[in-house]
Amino acid sequence: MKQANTTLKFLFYSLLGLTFLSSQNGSAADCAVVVNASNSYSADESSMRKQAKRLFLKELMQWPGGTASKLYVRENSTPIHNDFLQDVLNKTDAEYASHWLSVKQKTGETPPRAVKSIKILLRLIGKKEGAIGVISKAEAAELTENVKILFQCN
Amino acid sequence: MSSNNKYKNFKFMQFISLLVVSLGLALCSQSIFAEESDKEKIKLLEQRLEQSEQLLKKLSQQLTELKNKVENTPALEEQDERITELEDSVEEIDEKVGSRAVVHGFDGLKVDVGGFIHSALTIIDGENSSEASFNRQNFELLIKADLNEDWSAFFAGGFLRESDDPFILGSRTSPSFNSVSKSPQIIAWTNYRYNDALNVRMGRFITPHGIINQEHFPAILLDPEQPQFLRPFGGDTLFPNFSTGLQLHGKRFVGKDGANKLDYNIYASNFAGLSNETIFGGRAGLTFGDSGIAVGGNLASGSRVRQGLINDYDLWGIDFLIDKGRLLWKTEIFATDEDAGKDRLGFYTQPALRLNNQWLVFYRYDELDNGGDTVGDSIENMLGFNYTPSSNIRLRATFTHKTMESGFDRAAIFFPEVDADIVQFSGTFSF
Repeated sequence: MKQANTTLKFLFYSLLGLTFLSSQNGSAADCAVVVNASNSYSADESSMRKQAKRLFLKELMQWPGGTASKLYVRENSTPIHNDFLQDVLNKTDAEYASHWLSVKQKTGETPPRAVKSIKILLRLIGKKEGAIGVISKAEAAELTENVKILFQCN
Repeated sequence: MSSNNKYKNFKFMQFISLLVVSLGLALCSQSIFAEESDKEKIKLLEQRLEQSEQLLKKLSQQLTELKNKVENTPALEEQDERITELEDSVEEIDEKVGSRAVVHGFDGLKVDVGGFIHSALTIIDGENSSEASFNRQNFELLIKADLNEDWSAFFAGGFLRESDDPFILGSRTSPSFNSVSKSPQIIAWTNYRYNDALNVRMGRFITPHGIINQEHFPAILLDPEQPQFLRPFGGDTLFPNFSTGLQLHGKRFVGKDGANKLDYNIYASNFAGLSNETIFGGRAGLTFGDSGIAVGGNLASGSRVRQGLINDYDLWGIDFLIDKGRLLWKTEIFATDEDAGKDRLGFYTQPALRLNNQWLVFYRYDELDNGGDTVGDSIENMLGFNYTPSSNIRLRATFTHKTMESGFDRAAIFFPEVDADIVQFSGTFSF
């Protein structure tokens, strides 16, 4: 047991330092999170970011107020999706895939629908009250009257 | 000039005068007729002009309508984009479905089907003998159905061909494999979501204790054998891996700006091996913001059969997780206070390092004191690698040094300490 305890201590101290090794990419992200225009959720940007992250990862299934969320993301490996993963979810592609593998196996919940066309994405978000999605900053010029920006990525 | 000539001249002049008069009359009548014809033409032209004006008005109206239509119609570029996406979708659906039959759920909003195949090769170098076996070939089918916005159902059924614990089957010194087919109902619950903070789950569920028991599925486990206190599959060494009953669960974000996640599970259930006894238990977990650190407290009280008698026990446990950047470290400790026989203790700590997106290395120290139901404590030191070429394929290689400490069995016969080295290669392929 003594030997085991020494091993544990060594592992504890040597690996504790690794918790601080994660680094972040500093380049500006080209994305914005948009919602249905009838969505009345309002908060400071930090809270909105947390809310969006929890919804997109299905840690929460509804908006404050009880409206069920409908999630839309962009296709894997596109620049918008990568920026969204980095800036909003704070996850790498592999971490995102791993998260959904885990959730699927444990509860059967599936990842948000990926939409390629901005036009179709905006139509879907405009139609559904609890909808939330991701666009690029350039695509913000194409916003329809029933979609609004919740926040822009940094 | 003769009178005859005068007469001729007169006649000639008369003839000329008549001619001139005739011509004049002819010309006059012609101009009168021409004047009448012009009037008709003008009238006709006026009519035509009026018709043209009406036509122009009509055309102008149509032009305005067309203009409005064009303005309200999506641009060609936009239509192209939509058509491209629709074509892509159709092609994708066609590729997936083709001429095959389309599957429909009987009812409900949505049905998702998934599953995995898990295979393992295990080589054991025991104290007295060595054995090798392809000891696991498991297929599990997972089905999730959304009955409506609030109700859902989840099912996991297993078609398992696997060996039981090789050290129990043979002996401490000469491990042995068998191959048994089982098809258990692993999970079957329905869930009612009142809101994110309150869900009610009924049916057979994974007992909500700790970290790895709740992860459960090989597709996400670094080591599919799981820590010793969770073995055998479907057993209740410290607590049942699965229970049938009722569970309340939910999550809430608490603390400053709702930064921390508080999640809970409370359940009342039966263990399949002892259906007339109820277990009450629960777990509360707290995740500290984005730190990747989470801690959970577990309590339960129930009964199990030990040495042929029903034995009541109380369980407590703590689980601790760090999941940040490259580091993934899980630790759990569970202990029981048993009414009959010795108390039990299970503990493991499993630090893992993500080398990159595909490779991960981990170590696990794992100790089980099962209260004297087998001889001595069992300690495992495991080193393993995971390789995930894609998120739904996990290949593993593990090396385990297992020590079964000395002690007495129930008949007070002494057994010396024995060691075994175990190498396992496994793969889980999920869909």
